[in-house]
Amino acid sequence: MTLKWSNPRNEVVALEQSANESFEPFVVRYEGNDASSVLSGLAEGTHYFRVGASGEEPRSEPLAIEVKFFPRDQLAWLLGIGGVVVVLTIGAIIAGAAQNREKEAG
Amino acid sequence: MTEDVFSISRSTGWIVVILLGVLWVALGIFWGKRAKNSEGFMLAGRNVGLSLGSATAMATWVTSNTTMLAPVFALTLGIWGMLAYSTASFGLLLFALFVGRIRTLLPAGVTAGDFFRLRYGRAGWSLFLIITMLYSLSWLVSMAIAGGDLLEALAGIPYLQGMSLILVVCILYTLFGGLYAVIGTDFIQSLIILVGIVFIGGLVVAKLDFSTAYEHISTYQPSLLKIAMPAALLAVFNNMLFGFGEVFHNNVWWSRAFAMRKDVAPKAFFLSGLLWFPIPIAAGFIALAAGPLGINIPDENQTGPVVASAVMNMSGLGAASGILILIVLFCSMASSIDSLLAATSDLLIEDVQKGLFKAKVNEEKFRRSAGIVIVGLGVLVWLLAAPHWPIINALFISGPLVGSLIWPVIAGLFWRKINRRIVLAGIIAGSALGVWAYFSLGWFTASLVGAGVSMVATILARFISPETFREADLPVQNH
Repeated sequence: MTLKWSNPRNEVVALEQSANESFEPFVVRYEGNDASSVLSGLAEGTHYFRVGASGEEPRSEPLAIEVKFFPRDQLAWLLGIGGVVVVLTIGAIIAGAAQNREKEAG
Repeated sequence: MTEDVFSISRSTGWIVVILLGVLWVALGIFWGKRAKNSEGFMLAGRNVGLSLGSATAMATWVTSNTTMLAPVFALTLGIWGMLAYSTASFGLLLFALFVGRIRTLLPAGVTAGDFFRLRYGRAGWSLFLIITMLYSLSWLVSMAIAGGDLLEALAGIPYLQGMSLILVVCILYTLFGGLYAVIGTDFIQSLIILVGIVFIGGLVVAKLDFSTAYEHISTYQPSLLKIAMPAALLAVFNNMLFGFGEVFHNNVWWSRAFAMRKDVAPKAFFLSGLLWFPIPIAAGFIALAAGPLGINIPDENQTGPVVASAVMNMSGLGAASGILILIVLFCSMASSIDSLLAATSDLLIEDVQKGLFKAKVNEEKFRRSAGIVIVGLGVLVWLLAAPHWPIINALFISGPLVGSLIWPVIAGLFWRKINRRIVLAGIIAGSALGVWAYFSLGWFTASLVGAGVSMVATILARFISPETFREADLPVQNH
């Protein structure tokens, strides 16, 4: 996901992340002049973000991001189907090529 | 830190792309002198050897998507994302097993359309043409757009000018040299791409402390290291099948199968797959280093260039970093645009002009006809790329369409008995359900659904009222 904010005066801003809305504790995920940042690989659950001029108050209202993974039951089905389709596809190609080689050799 | 990472000026950008353009066009004219007839122009005299054959297949498969999207896969899907992208190489590895059969079945074949017409009749051939044209055109347009975007981002060259420039260069050398020029330039471009990616990867390795990097990713991006990350796991199967569909059906690969010497073609495809496999891993690794090296990525689509440029700046390369990235990306785009232009124009001449419209194109008229088709196709691509529509989405949506052609290709090559109507119904059902899955379940399921539905139909077609295909009745020339 990409978090965007406005930075019309090209200030050094800090993007902070926390596991709770009170931001105690928090970590700085980005500090610089950019007006956006791509965040990836977050764990499942709710994460809170806020931005503001670096080292100064105030901060923006917290933004809550909920990370949810693909439903496990659907995942199991689709992975099973995926495995079967891939194995059968590769198997059919190898078997076809082997038969063709035998035919051409014979 | 991303500010001012692109330190290349507009004038430097113009000089680099014009010099590269002049080089490719000059080489295209030089190699094009070998094309004495239509077979020389379209199939390089059917005499391409192992080194040129494997280089052209590898370079063609390194598209702007490989250099731009593989880092995005790694950044968003982690380790599995890197591997998922690399599985596209399996398409080339498996195509190596098709080539011998293709050459036996179609000794005078020119395009993939010859195969679909032979095995699936006019209806199957028409269905193939619709799917492949949609796919090829969206691939071509998305690369022209990516070219324009990159020249704008890297050198500040306005989008329309950059996009037009890269397209004109590729049209010119394909026009003058046909497949000879495409394969020759692909060879040089593949070397530049490999050296560039290895060099940038080496700089990242030198800058990275692996234990600190692991700790950073485990703390801030834990899902990227997660073994059971659902979307990433599904992306492995989906991407693999998308790659199978792309390679198995498209004329870019069939024209190379016809162009290579029969004895070297399987080895060349296998070697190209092996050479291609580590490229997305290297490109993805560069993206994974972004967080640990403190590099901010403001736009997901610019992940690769942003991280590569930042790492080279850290290494004190300054403006040289922008020039190197520009050269590598320009080569990766040109090597795919030229191949698609050549293969798609062959399809338009052979299957549409001569096949569907029964036009007579003799040897005297061929070069003029090929020129009109290549320029016409280039103009169409330019018109579609100029408005800067999000065509890349059309390319991704074509995943289930090409995925549904995997099993019809396998069955058509290796099975004697098949019910053609059921196979064609499977292609239509697979395409429709795959597109539904794309929007309803997620992009990472679409090609899997398309390929799966078509697979079931094709297997049924082997047992329900199959018609026998008699190879003895094959025409020597398919047109």
